[in-house]
Amino acid sequence: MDLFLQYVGLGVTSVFMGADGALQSLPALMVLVGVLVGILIGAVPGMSGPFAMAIALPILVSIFGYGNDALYPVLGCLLGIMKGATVGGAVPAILFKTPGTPDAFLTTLDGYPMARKGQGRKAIQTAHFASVMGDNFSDIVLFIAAPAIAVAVERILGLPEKSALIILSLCFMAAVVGRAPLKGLIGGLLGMFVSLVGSTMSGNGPRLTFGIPELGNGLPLTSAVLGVLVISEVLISIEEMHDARKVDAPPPTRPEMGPRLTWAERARMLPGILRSATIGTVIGALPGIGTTTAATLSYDTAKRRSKTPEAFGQGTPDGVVATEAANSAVSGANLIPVMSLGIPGNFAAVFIILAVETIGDFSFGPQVFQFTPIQEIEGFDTILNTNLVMAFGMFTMMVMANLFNWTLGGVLMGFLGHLVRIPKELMLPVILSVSLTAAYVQDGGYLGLLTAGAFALIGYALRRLRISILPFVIGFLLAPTLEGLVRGAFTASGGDALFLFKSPIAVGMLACSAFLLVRMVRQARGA
Amino acid sequence: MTGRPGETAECRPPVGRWNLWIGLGTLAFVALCLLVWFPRDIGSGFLQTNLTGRTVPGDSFFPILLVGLMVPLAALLILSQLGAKRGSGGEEVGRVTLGNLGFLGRALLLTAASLLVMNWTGPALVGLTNALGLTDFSGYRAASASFPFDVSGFFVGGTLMTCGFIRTTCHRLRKRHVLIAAAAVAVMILIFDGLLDNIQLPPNADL
Repeated sequence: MDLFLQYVGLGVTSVFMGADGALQSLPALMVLVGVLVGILIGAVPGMSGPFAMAIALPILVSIFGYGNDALYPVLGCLLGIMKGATVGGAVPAILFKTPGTPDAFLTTLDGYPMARKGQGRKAIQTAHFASVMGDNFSDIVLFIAAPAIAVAVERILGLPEKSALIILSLCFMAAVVGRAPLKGLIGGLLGMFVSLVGSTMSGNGPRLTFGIPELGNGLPLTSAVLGVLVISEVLISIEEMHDARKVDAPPPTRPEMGPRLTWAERARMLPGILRSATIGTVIGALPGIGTTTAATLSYDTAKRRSKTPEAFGQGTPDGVVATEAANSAVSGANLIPVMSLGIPGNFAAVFIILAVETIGDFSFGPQVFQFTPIQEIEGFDTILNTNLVMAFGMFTMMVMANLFNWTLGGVLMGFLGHLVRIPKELMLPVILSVSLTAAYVQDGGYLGLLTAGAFALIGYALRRLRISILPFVIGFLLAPTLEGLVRGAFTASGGDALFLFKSPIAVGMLACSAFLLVRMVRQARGA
Repeated sequence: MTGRPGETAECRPPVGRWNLWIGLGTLAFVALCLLVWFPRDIGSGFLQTNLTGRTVPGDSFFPILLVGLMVPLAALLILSQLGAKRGSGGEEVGRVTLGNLGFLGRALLLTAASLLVMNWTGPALVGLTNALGLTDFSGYRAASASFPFDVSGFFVGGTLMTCGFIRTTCHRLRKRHVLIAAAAVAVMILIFDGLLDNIQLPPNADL
């Protein structure tokens, strides 16, 4: 326990003190900036947290550079954006029936009728209270579950089991994301394959480069993810706007704001918040299942358990509580597989992993939570697990983001209604220009730009062909890890062709993967 | 999302075919990889013997495993489409229409044209100021660290690209749209070039 507390203490102080022992405020400042940006971005219809994180990452790397010193400011800002966006999205959903983020779509069901009834302020404060409570709840679960799972995984799982776990995760993700699981899985394998371009494992020179020397160091990661996730989505939105008939909608009018939410009303919401946050946390901890599923499940559960189910959809605060607490709880919980296993489960987690892999020596996975005894060797240095210190530093920044969300979020939410007026048809071209510039700046010129362009075309094709993007991106990011594990397991088995089937746990995981595959085929046949 | 105005259900191709094409395309890609690409572009084989005489995976090991796994999945996709029940839910089917390709072509053309303008504006400005006797640079490379030459190409090309896409989304281009595009690019210049060190805006990193 002493060791645990020592590491927690080191993690907390590492955020506020630099390597030289001097006080530093930059990480805290960047968390604040991130939360503010996230809240603002969340309130702009058509934007979302991951979208903003994608554009912010190259800019942050340009500002702070590489190395462990840059890790806290960059991660702090990204975590702030992720958390801020969960709060901001509810405002336009409630006031104008225009969800700022996709997560807030279900909030319109009761939030908007509340605003129409002259309870706009109460609906916004309900959304803020439920959202921040849900987020805090899932963070607490993350702080407990991630180290526990990581320690268990590190003790129980060897190379074949870890390889099987990644295969199972990919199958699970393909099965639950979208309505084309077989194609999703092929997309995941394609993502893995593409990430091998320019890599090498045995000193025989770079692979699959078509003889292009610029590809010898591999594809620029950030530009590739920026292209496949953001630029392809922007292109599709621009095309849809081009194809749509222009309708000049009247500017939305702000409804009557009405009374405040009382403390007694907040207290009555607590059981509902707890139930919805639990649903959101469980859903969020599973890779691939997003906020919409969590919000839908939570809303249905709240409606079924309510004494007045007929009030749902007519403007009841319980409906706002159910959706906001659940979708915000997903944001903390989706870092559980990231921090404990190194497996990202959604787009926000992808950018957290990408930041970590791009910038410093730190990498997520079960090895992070090894409680190495802290030993000070005179005249040399202190022996400790620096990754663990950074993990607790990251938890500290998440708590800070929650505090900013509690305080600033509540104040800001009242002023965000005007952002709904920002025209999407002007914003998207600007985002496209920013994204392309960020790719050029981050990844050394036209190579970054061409990579972003090529991956934007891949992303466009995947989206048009109804192939889920998430397995492709996760496969792209996990391929180097999986290749290392598979090669290690094969070598350790003495070249046994059945090296993945030697352990009962690995066999169990592969059997689950096979079951998911059978389910996918049955679904594909329409059974 | 994919439907274009004017298209009717009757004139659409049978949408289930697209999944068949994806399955067949995947199989063709695997064959191309195994027979042509891998042998020419990967330095070592599936397995190799290291210095101690142990058999270890070569550089082709993982790529072959990956494309090998694509084969049964593609076969299952094809078979599931052939045996799919009519009118049933099944695997979702998407498609890429000629309209989509046309849009991509236009977007690509606009981006390429903007990049060309980005590349040419700086040298043109240097040539102009040299001709007017205002400067005496030996070429754009010599001027590429001096304001406004260093950002002139990005400003003009970036504004052109943003305006082009605004024209696509709004179906028209007004004066205020051009001003918004120019302001957005100016803000990017301020952030990337004004506030950050060691950052080179297009096209300066590729001179």
